[in-house]
Amino acid sequence: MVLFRYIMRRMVLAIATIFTLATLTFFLTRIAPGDPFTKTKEIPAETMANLRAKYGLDQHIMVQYGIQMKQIFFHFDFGTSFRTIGRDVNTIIEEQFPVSAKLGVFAVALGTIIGMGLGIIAALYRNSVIDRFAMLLCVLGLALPGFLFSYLFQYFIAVVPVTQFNMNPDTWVPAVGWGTWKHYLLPGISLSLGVVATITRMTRSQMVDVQFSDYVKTAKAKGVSTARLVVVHELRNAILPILTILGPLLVGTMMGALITENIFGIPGLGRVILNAVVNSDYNVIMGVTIFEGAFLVLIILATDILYGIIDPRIRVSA
Amino acid sequence: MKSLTPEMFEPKLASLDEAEKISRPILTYFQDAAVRFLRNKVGVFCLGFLTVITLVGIVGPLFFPQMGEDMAYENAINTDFQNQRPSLGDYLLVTDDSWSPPDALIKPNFNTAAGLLAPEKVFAPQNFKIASAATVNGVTLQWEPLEGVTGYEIFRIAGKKESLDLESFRTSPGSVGMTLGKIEDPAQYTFTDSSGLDPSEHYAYAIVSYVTYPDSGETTFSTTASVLNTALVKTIKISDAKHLKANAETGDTIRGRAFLFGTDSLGRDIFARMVMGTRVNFSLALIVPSICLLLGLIYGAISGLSGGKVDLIMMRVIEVLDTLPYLLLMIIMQLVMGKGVLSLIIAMCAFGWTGFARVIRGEVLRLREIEFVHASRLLGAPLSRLIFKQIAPNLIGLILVVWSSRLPGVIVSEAFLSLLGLGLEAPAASWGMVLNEAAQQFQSHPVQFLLPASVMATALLAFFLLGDALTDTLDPKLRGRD
Repeated sequence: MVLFRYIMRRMVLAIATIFTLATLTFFLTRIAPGDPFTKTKEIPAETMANLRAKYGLDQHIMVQYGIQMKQIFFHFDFGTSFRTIGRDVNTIIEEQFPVSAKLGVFAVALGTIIGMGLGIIAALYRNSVIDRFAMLLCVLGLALPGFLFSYLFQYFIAVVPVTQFNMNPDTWVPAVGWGTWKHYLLPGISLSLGVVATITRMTRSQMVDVQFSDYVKTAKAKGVSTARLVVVHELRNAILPILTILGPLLVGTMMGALITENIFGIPGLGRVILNAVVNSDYNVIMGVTIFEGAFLVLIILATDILYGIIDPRIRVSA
Repeated sequence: MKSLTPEMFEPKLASLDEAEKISRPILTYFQDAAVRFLRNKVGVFCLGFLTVITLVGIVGPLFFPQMGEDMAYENAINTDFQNQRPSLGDYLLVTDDSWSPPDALIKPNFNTAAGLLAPEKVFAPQNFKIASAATVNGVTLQWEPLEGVTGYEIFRIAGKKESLDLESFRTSPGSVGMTLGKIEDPAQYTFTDSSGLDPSEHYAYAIVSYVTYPDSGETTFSTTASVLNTALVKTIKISDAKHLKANAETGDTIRGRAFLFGTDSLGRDIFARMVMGTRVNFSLALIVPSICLLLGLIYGAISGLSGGKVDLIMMRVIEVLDTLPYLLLMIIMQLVMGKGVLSLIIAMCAFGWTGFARVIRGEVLRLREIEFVHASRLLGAPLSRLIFKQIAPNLIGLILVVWSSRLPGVIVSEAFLSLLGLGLEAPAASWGMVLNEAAQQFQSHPVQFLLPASVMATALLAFFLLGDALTDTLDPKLRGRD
């Protein structure tokens, strides 16, 4: 019963969040200077009136708001792009989202594996060279933005070997594009550095905390092997908080990949947003924002509920 | 081992005064924090580094040459200096604003009546030299005209100084170099080359003379050429030179501007733009977290002090705001408000304060149960007094920690928005704007991106490590651990 109430409360909050987001983006885009048609070439007044009527821009703003909210929440319809005639935002998201999602999942998966490995080793050999190296990597990954790494990797790993050292551009890592597994490497690694830093730091501090707990001492006293101690006794308890940040980390990485996608010419949501920004295509921006926001909210909701089921302490305190 | 003596076992005289004596100087909270901070070498170094950057940002622009007509120096476009490599300032020859090649000179009293030379007697002109300075505008060559030839032909090769093969150029100039011109007047003794000169190359010129026999129509060239090689002198127009040195005159050599980071595609000094950008970025980095802090302080304190339903609702609002995709909302807000420093501040502050509010509420909940706050409330102090007189001073350590951890994020956000084309209005300079402009031609001119990027990266690292150091010194949770 407590669990049910907890889940209900989280869901109400999630819906409220998405609603707030939709309202916020709606009114923000409506108070933007000019409307989407003023940035194109001169349009005759009559055509303009027709266009505005077609997209419902001539109605009272609250009516527009009501229609839009109804469309979004009951039909999951974000409307049509103002720029690319006949393209509706849903199709754009359906086509481009999987690309961003794949890249994001790749980066987070890579970062998590490396980060956990590095964190465990750093915790086992505290103050060793490896620990120092891991901490250096953490500082770099946390302090510097992913797009900086993207620019550097693209130039020094993809471009320089081909132009300076005569690498074969067909077999070497490509500098731009999307399609084969090689295209994942550079953008994926540059995005994963932030994930590596976050996960390494967390794993290390969790592992260090767990190392001093009584049950680990007991296990050690009973003569459990180091490998078994780390995997069965320590890692299992240290891993829980890490699992909870993976969801938000994934969404954060995907949204932060905006510029990285642009640098490597990846046809994901980042490029959609960039084009929409250049063209003031408010419907697209609004659609993508609400979509990504809802995605984030749902992932956090799922994490919270799962965590509530796994760890009874959470649902009592929340 | 120290030998034991009976005196060592004498009991010490118990003195209350001695036991209660405060042997060290009394330190206030901040003196204590300062002592702890100074022990942290990384933190001190980072603080020093950031102070230097800040000073450069404040003082640096005063040393830039002044530009007239409301044109800021760092925005001044100079088409003569596009995409220059970093340099400490080349020596520049002052030239007129409009340069045109000098007329070819003809030797007076030249004996045109002399008979043509026999084929085996044709040799290259002597005294082949540069007439005046070899500049990027043009190289004027000069030689001793020969009697008895029909004319001269001039060749050129270009490249790095070491790679120029002057010997083979001398023996077969026609096949090694490119033909610059054929001079059909034997009395002419100067020639100006002004085609596509590149100041980073070294040039070698060769001249041969030839004789065309009118009866047979055959032409004989001298078997070898006279060769010279030269580097080019960079030039500056007199009107530009006046900005550097007021009394500059045509023909002077003056030291050009130092382009420490090179110049961009519009010929603007990237270092100057970075220095001016420091003002924008560091102002943002100081202002944005401060505004967020103020909002968070008010919100968190009200929420924490009110308690009950108000607290619950206010915390739910924060939970909602925290889950919003703030990067995308920041983009939308920038679109709505247009480019500029003010809209950057608003866009970054709009969703940045919730973290502060959370932290401060938590601390307020702890502090409000402390006796002196109870006492103040009992004496009828209004909420504002409770917040600013009782709660805030006790929050300062924590506030400073959270505040300092926000500084690098602001710089990253500014760069992020600028790289999307949503930062400042061009041509204003900020670090993000410089990076954005350099990123357009990263592949062809990587230096323009790498140098500003490393400045930004270093500053970000310094901010990050400084934040860590402050956490170590100020965070009450960590006090007493070491």
